Amino acid sequence: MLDLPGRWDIVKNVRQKGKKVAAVFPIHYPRELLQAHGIHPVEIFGPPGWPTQTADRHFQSYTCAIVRRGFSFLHEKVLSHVDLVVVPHSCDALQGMASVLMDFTENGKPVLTFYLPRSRRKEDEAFLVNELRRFFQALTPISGRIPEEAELKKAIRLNQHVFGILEKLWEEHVLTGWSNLEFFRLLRAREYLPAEDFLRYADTAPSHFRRIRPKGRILLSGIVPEPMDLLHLLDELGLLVVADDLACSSRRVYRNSDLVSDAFPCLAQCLMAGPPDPTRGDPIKQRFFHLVKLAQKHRAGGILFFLPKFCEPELFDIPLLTKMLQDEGLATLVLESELESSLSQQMVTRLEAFAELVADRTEHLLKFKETPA
Amino acid sequence: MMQPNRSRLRYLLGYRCFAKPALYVRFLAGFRKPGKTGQNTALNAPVGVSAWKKAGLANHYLEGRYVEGVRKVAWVTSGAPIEILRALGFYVFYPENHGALCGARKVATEIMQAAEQQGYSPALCSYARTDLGSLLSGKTPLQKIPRPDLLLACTNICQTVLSWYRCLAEYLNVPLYLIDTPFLFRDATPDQIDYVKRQLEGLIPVAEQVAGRSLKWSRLRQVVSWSKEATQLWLEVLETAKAKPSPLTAFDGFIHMAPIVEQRGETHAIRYYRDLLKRLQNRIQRREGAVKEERFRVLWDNLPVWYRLRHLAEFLAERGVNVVASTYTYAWAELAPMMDSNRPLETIARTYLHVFLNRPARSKLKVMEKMIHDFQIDGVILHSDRSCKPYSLGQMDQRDHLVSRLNVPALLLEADHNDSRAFAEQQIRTRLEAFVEMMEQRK
Repeated sequence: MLDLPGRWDIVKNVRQKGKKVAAVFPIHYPRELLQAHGIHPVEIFGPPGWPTQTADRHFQSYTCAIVRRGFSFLHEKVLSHVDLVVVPHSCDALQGMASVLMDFTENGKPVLTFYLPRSRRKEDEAFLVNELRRFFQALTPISGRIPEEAELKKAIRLNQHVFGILEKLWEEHVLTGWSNLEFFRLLRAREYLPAEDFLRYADTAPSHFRRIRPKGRILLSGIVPEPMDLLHLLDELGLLVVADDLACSSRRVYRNSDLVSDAFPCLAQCLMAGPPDPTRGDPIKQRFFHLVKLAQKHRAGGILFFLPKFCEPELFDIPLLTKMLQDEGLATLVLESELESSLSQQMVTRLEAFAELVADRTEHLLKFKETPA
Repeated sequence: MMQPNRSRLRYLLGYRCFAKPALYVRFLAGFRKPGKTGQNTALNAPVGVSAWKKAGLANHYLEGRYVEGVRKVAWVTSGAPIEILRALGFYVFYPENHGALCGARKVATEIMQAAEQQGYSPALCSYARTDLGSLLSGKTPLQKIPRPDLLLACTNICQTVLSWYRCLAEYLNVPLYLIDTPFLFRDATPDQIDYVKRQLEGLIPVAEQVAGRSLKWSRLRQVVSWSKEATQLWLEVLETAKAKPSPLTAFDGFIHMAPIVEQRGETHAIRYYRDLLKRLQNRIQRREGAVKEERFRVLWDNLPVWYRLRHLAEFLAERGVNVVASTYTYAWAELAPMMDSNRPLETIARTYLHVFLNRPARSKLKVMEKMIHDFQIDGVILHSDRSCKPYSLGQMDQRDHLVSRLNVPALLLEADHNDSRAFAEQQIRTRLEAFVEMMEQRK
């Protein structure tokens, strides 16, 4: 099993080195700007099973678990170890949480927000450039410095390099059939490891990964695969995740080949270039084409949507998207979770049935691909 | 879709020559059944407007049945800047208002089940579920909803509308134009205003292409000035409730807000509110309250519970409670001073950015505090609306603040604006009774 340091070991480590730490909520944010300021981002996705009593004093029960667990975790464990909190306006629930954090809780730490436009037009990109500048300036009182353009560009290049490595890792994973659990533990380590450390692990860890014998190939979609038991179960069922459409993972791979322009426009272009995402307002059809393309490229037989309960941007897409995907011959399964510490028996049963269905489809697809036209 | 000539003929003969005159005759002759309110309840008969004005409002929906193929139709979100569309002659339809109408007619739950059967989660906004259910099942109390040529979504009320309209765009295969309004944690910056203004500039050629005509700026300025006037009148209407006893309840306000949402930028809304204001002022002079014995004055926060509007109004009135104001109705009134017809695009951008729901919880609390002071409020009911998260998140802290810092009784009432399955009748009665007792003790 991959031996990674824990999230809070890293926080402690980074702080001991005199660096500042930011607790960052999902989804999209300019990691490069934090890095250029010498601030280390540590992301908060849950964690699963964390008690929600603290949040229950502020949020109704119909608020998603990412907010309720994250808010509780932030107050009970994180705040005293970080220098600021970043809350991107990813949805109404996270925006509401940012508002409560800023207006009603006395946490003594600055809370910064970030707004990624909900479309990808020229005017959206122009706004994003300004929004990035505003965010960058807001970091100065915290970091106590104004980074040079070169530092910014360096951070952008570093992250582009990481994106390249991620792509290579995926290629290898699909070819080799690494354990989903181990592979995703590595991918998700990017949520809290410094980029250099992540690259080191990405280079060395995979050679120790366990391999599974895939009976079926699937895509994994949603926000975050928590609890990670899910991936362990997929390993056991012989379902190989050949690509993902997760908010915590591939939806945040912002590839940009043009690194010539000034730092802020360049970073804006990167963020505008991410894959289709319901929280960014992309048309459902675009997302459908993206998923079908991934499924065809990797010969996946099905798509597993693993969603947090009450997640409006995801839930609105599901009826149309699953119908379109089923019409394309792909099996789909939608599971809603509240970031519990383990999977329910009901979920396990549904996943077992899904695995059988996908195994059939994958076999059919493989045969179909091998048959000459 | 019908042939243009056939549509036009149907519009001219069916709507202009027959249905519209018949509607006005029906209203003027008072053929509609009078409501029961005022006869055997603790409420006086609500202040209405003339039959002519009422007919003008009903006519908006009536025209919708005939308008397809004659005028271009846009479906818009309730907070969308519709002035450009009005100036281009669009017939503007509000799915949210349609949802509210379904709720008030108590058919929303049945309609939204059609959407749920297709896989739409019961956790989603119940307006959206009602609208999608209506689209998928064809059920509507309006008989017919005109098919849109354009969808306009503005994120100033929530991000939900964007998800919802993306589904509509897919089902209806029509263009969706987005006005994205960044959330204002503080006052809008020039960058944010410029961003919205640029999107409005981008809307013009898209809407012109759909409408098949060019925008006349003089017309746009006129529409903006009508919007401003109607909004100002609506504010004056709501402020009559400052009188003691209040001549209207927030429940009346929920009904009377239809023109400010649907007919903003049209002269009918102005005429409607002028008439209503005059009648309310007369009532103030007569010292006649909306509630026969007004003992407590209450503020309502969040959307109404459409399917229990009358029930709640009567239940509270029987206990001497007049819900005199609501943050929801006020949201369409407070920004009137921002509009300036001489600088239409910039002021549209500024105004629509600053709407109540696009501002943080602290700012909403400040509005509530002001209303508590201005309307001499004894207590606050915060409707914790299960399927409207942007309005509801923050209410628990707002409630605590009202109780602990302002010493105002405040009740968090769990329900849903359109989904009657979320309304626990007995529990709500008990909680409201306890709330009234609490106010009683403080008198």
